[in-house]
Amino acid sequence: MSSVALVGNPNVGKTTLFNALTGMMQHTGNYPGVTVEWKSGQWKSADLPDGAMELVDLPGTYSLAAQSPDEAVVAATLLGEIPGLPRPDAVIAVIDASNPERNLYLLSQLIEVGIPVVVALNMVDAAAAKGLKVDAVRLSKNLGIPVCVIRANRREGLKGLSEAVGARLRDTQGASFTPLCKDPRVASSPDIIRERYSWARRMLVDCLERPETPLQTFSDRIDRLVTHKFWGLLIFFGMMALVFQSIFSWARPVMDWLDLGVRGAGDLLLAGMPQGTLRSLLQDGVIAGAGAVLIFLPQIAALFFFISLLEDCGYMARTAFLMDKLFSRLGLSGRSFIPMLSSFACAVPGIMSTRSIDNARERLVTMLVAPLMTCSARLPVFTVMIAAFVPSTRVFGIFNMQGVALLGMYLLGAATAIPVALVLRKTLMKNVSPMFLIELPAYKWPDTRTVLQRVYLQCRAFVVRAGSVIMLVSVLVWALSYFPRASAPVDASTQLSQSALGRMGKTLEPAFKPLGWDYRITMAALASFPAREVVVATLGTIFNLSKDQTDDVGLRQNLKDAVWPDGRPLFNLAVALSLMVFFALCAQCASTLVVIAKESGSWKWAAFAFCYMTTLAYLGAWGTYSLVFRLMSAGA
Amino acid sequence: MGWQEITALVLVALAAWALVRKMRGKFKGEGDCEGCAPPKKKK
Repeated sequence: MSSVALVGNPNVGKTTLFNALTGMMQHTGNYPGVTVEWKSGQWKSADLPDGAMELVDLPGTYSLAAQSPDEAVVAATLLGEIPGLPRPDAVIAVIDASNPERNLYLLSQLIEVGIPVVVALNMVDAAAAKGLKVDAVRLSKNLGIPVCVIRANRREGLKGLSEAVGARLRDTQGASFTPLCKDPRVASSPDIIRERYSWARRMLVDCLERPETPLQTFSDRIDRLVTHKFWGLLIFFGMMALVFQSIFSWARPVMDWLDLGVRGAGDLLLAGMPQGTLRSLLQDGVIAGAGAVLIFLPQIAALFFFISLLEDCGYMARTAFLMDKLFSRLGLSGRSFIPMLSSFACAVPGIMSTRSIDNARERLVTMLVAPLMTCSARLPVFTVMIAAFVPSTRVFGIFNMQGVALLGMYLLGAATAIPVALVLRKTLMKNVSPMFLIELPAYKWPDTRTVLQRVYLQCRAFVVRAGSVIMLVSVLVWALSYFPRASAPVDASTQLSQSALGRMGKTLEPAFKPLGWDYRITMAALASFPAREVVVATLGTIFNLSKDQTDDVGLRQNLKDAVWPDGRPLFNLAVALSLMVFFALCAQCASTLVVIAKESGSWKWAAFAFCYMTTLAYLGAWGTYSLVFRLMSAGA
Repeated sequence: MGWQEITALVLVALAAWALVRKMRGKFKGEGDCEGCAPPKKKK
């Protein structure tokens, strides 16, 4: 099957076009670094040779002379150097109509490569808002290659594009362009750069209408406020407070229904089954474990709904710009902030997006601090503790204390990342003065399909995790907590303390007692190494097994009822905060450590990340517990 | 040993085997969250 590659500058709509042509659901974003490796899918159309082609989506680049690892993928693909990926038979050059001159610079290099090129002129509405109009017919005549006007987000102009690509593959006559460089990957000399821009201007001379003076767009007017050094930050923190408030209060009723549903399904499953080992496995391992995690689905959906909304309307790119101002004072750059921003969803794509950073040391520092950002896996841990132990009182009359606590936990990771990055920068990246340039996309009304698609993908991934790794760990934790059985009948708490898990936990308990944890919390936390949200399941299983009553009262109530051997309540605000701080800073995520090892090229850095984050988590949890416990004792 | 014990032990053994496979996959870089998976061809 023939293949066609999508190439263009960052943020011109390549992945949106890829999704529109293949029907796939790759993550799109309006800031650089969202696509950092090639992805392929099948593009079916009657206009194409054999009715279908393999479509390859490539990272955005300004030039084929690569500066960063993601840009290098583009040149390597076009030259057929990627193992398992044949050299494309054609290239679709996606061009942003609102910035045609700079986009044509890359086009000049693409034509030189010698692969048939078709231009897809995208973002014509953004160009019109700036008062720019590109005459596609005349541009096509000047370039000698087909130019199709498309609106990838609205799936308009796709038929014309498939016809043009099909025709281009049948007609082997290419554009006449004398190569300026023998190897497109070699950084061009200033003369060649000037020649390329001069060529771009010649191509556009009679087909680009632009106003005498640049128009003041709607986006420019909003940006004066949103990117302001004081008001911008105030708006950012205000917006975040509202988001976390909403996540906590809006998702609550749906979570309660889901909780009832999970318990109802459990009752149905266990109806008629006599007391025994299998019943305990299903009740304490599967339902109290994996089921306890599943009820957080509405919060995950709410979190990604807001993230996608802010991302798709163009606000997220502004936060990188805002943070650059703040970070530059600390010697860091907004370039590092973009992977950190992605890490709020999941650290794995965040660390992968560091490929857009050209400086190797800056890239390493960014991938080492990115896991400190509060990923969605921490949300269930925070929520269960906040809902059970943080009072639901009003703050400043409008905010709920629980929402404020959630925001505080989210900010803790970001606040910790700053000093950590500073220390790493002083030791690892001496003499590097990072510079950051970002193109701010025009504000737009969020696309419903894009937002819902992201929410759906994240919810699906969450359910898959709950049904796979989380449930598997819960079952094993149940087995370790259930066996060996005591020879004589004993109460549930004694049985648990004599089990394999109980004995291991008792050995480790002294090391974690300064954090306010007993052996049950210790084992629940340690068993969550595969993924952070596993701790909710392991807490569910362990605390369900440690009570004598067989009725299912839910994880929150089980935690409230748990006691030390002397009868004191095990959980209080100090213990809950200590556990939350530990999970805000720890490295309990196998996937993250693997991706650090892969991206840095050494397991040494993954081990370093694990050690420094675990140390920080332990010290942070210990400090929090000691402080809050003293405050509580003083207040009592 | 009753049927409940035998079934439970078989399920635990299967879960342990599946978890080992899952973790081996994770260490090969196969994630199960959005954006974690390595490039794949979808036909």
